[in-house]
Order: sequence, then structure tokens, then C-alpha cells
Amino acid sequence: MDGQEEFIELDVIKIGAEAVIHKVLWRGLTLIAKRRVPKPYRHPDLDKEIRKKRTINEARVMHRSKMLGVPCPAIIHVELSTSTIYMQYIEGRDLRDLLNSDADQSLRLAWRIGEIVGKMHRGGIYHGDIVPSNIMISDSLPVLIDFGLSGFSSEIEEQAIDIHLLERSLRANHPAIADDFMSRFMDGYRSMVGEDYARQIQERVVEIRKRARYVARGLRHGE
Amino acid sequence: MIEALLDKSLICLGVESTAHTIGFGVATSEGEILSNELETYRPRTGGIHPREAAQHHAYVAHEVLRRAIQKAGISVEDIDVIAFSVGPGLGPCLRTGATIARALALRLNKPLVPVNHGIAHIEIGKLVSGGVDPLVLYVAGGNTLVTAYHEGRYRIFGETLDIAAGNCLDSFGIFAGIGPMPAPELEARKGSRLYPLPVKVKGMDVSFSGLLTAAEKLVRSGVCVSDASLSITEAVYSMLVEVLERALALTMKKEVMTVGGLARSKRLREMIDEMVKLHDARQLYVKDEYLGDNGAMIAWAGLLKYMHGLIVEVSESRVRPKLRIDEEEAPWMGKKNS
Repeated sequence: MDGQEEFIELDVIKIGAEAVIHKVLWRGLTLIAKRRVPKPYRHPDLDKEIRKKRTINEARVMHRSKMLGVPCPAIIHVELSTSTIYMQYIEGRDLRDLLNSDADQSLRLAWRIGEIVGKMHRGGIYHGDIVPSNIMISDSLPVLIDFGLSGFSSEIEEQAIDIHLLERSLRANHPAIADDFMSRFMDGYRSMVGEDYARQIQERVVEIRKRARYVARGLRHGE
Repeated sequence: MIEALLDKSLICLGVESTAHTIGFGVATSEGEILSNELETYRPRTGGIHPREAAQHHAYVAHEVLRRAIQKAGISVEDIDVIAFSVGPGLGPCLRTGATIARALALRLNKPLVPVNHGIAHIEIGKLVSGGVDPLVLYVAGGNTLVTAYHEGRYRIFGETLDIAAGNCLDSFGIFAGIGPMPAPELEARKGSRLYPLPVKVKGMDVSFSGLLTAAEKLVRSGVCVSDASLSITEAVYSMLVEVLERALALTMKKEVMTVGGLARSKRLREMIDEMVKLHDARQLYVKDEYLGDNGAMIAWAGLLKYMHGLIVEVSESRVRPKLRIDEEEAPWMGKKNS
């Protein structure tokens, strides 16, 4: 890669607690630049270390997901000096929008989404923040985005949290179709991970729910 | 009862005994703190032994109570309500305080109010700092959580997945031979080099046990204690401020308040000041006296509950060592932002 000057920064599309997301133009293509911004409250050495580590982690997980056949944005370039990941811009709308506007279409996609998440889990990756707003629907096909909290792990706990977060968010915001959606989702999921593993995951989800530890997280997307 | 509430200022005696502190405090329904007396059990070595702490509490209780009543300038007959810390905490310690509270309630024939210790920390913090609806970081030896009022109660947005932040720093200090907090923080000021330690933040949750092990390893490998102290305190605080920031971005609260023993940390407050600037919020400062465990906070939170009719029969007043902050409603917060 020749350097930063190739990327022409366009508008900011999201400011999160950790990163700022820009649209950028690169050789006539529209991309997304996700930049982890320095935190003035952190010790500068620690700040640099944390941003670098997380940027590498996110890029590695996305790259690995791509190789597993999990639809997610393709990585174009990683710039560690500014902790920025340049990635494919996914056209379309997110599942939260679709759930609000077209419940039937959303339900038709549930099986496929379950299959994708199953494929990812089977490959030893958890997403860490699977909620409808992080599932894009592009050309009628689901694409996972925002791997900021993701990681490599085949532990049931990490993977069950993924399922729990999705279920929790659906129940809070789309209670009428949550059960139907999750049952189709789990069918797709099961097709990838197998009967046994899917059952273990479901048992753990029940346990996590009882613990109440993660319950408040649903608020993130529950406004 | 309601007329009495409107007419007259009420006086509440609060009994706190969740862990190493036994405290008695007197508060009025106008929000005045009339007295706040306490004694702290200090083990000669190591951590708190629950039974020994409870014995300490039973031994000094009458004296602390006498002081609290005297300093408040009241007599026991003036007390309208008795409140006690019902949990979370160490069973034997909680039971000691609860027994005293029950005896007083029966003897004086006054209503008894069970108070959630965590909620009491928040409510006294708001009272003395002028806060209205803050995002709260509750950090102490036994607790680490990020909470705020949302839809009827205090909700937990994030918490530790293993040990508490205070416990992590205390254990490190004891291991390194400098003693518990605030020693590690003071030692950190002499440090100059920061060693990378595993920072584990998951969403809005934090985990400290891996960090503690890694910091102990640093010391064992010969890194000087001040550098190791700098490394662990910076890591712990930046994890706390990071999850606080995430919760702030989500809840969009305008006030941030830190309570609990670890809230006394200057460095932590300094970092939170930096963070709130980015979010158009302000930090509330709570006086040290009301940060750690104390009886006044139980008295004040007890009054808030009492004024909403939340009392308990003595026969039903068993303690709840594992009580969570989100297990009960906070009706005094009204309908605000629900």
C-alpha cells in the first residue's frame, strides 16, 4: 500500500465510545475507515498499546471470518500508526431497520443468519456484539459488521453470549416475532454446529440469562 | 402515616455492618446528616475474616451507637425509623448489624427498613454532591459495577467478571510487600516505566484476575515495585474509565459519580475528569467521609424507602448476603427517564 494520501476522507458516519467511523474514497471506491481514537485519560504508553492490540485483533478476526466464509466486510488496509482499519463499505440497511419495516422478510433471513453465526462459531470465533444493528442486509443477504468486541475462542460461554445478546435484543425490541425468529435462527445455527453443540449452547444461554449479569446490555439497543 | 410524613421532619438511625466497618448514622428526611460514627476492623495480617469482623462489630457497637446518638444531639426517643444494611455483604457481619437494628426497632417500637448497601452508597453520594441522576461507578474492595437509574430501578450496565478492582489492588499491594490501598497508588507515583499488562474489557464488563497474576509476575521477575504499581494501577483505572465511558455514551447521562472505597483514588478521579470532558458531562465529587461504608448512608437511603412505605416486619428481616443492586425498585427516583 502506498500510503495514507490515497484515502480521501469523506463524512463521519458514526462516533462510538471507542472509534470514529468515516466514509473514505479510495481509487474511486467507497470504503469505511474505522479509527480508534486516543483516549486522553489513559497513560500514553498504555493507550498506544491498547489501540494497537485491538486494531490487530479486529483485523485478524475479520480476515479469519472471511476465510471461513462468514460474510463480513473485506479488509483493504490496516494502518497501525493511526490504529485505523480500512474496509469494504457494505451497502444496504441493517436488520434493525428491516425488523421494523418488514417482519416477514426478516423471518425469511433468520435461518441464514443462524447458519452464518454457526459457521463463525464452528471456526472458533465469537463476535461479542451480535445485535440486529450489527447485521447488515445487502442484496437480500446478511453480512456481519462491527467486530470490535470479537475474539478467537471456542469456549461455550463466549459463543453463548453471542446468542444471548441477539435473543435479548430481539425480545426487548421486537417481542412479537422474537420467538419465531430465534427458532428459525437456531435451525440454521444447528445445521452448522450440529445437534449436540447447539443444545449445549442453548442450555448455557438459559444459565446466562438467569445470572442476569448481561441483562442490562440489552439496553444498548433497547431505546 | 402520610400526614405525619408531610408535616414533620423524620429522623432515621442507620446501621451499617456489611464488611469491616460497623457504623451508625443519623439523618433527617430533609437530607441533613446529624451524625456519622464508625469503627473499622483491621486484621493484623491478610484479609477480613468474617467471623472475627462480626465479633469486633458486636464488641464496639454500643459505643459507636452511643456516639452517633450523642453527636446527633438527639435522644433515642426522637428516632422515627430504624434502617439497616440488609446486603450484599458478609453474612456474619450483616447479621450482627441486623440483630442490633431489630432489637432497637422492637424496643423503641419503630418501623424497620432493610437497605440495599449499594443503593445506599449511591443515594448518599447524590445527597452530598448535589447529583440528580448520575451514571455511577461503584468500586470498592468487594464490588465493582457501573450502574444508573433506568426504568424504575438501578440497572447494572457492567461489572467485574471475577474479582473486584479494590480487591485486585489490595492483593497486589500485599503481595508486593507495600500493603493494601492506598499504598499501590502512592507507590505508583514514584514509578516511571509502564509495563504492558493484560487489559480485559468485554463490552461493559471487566476482568481483573489475569491482570493481578501478571502484575505479581512482574514483581517476581525483579521489576521494581513502583513501576509494577504504576503499571497495575494505570491498567485497572483505565479499564474502569473505559467501561464507564461506554456506559456514558449509551445512557447519555449528564453526571458521573464514583462511590465506594476506591473512589478515594486521586488518579482515578483525574482520569474520569478527562473522560467526562469528551461527553459533555460532569463529575460529581463525594466527600471522603461518605465514600466508604458508613451508617449515614443507610439512614438516608432508609428514609427514602420509608417515605415510599417500604418497611419490613422484624420476623421477615433476614439479611441477604448476595443481594444485587438491580433487585429492587427505586420509587423515589420518580418517573424520570423511564
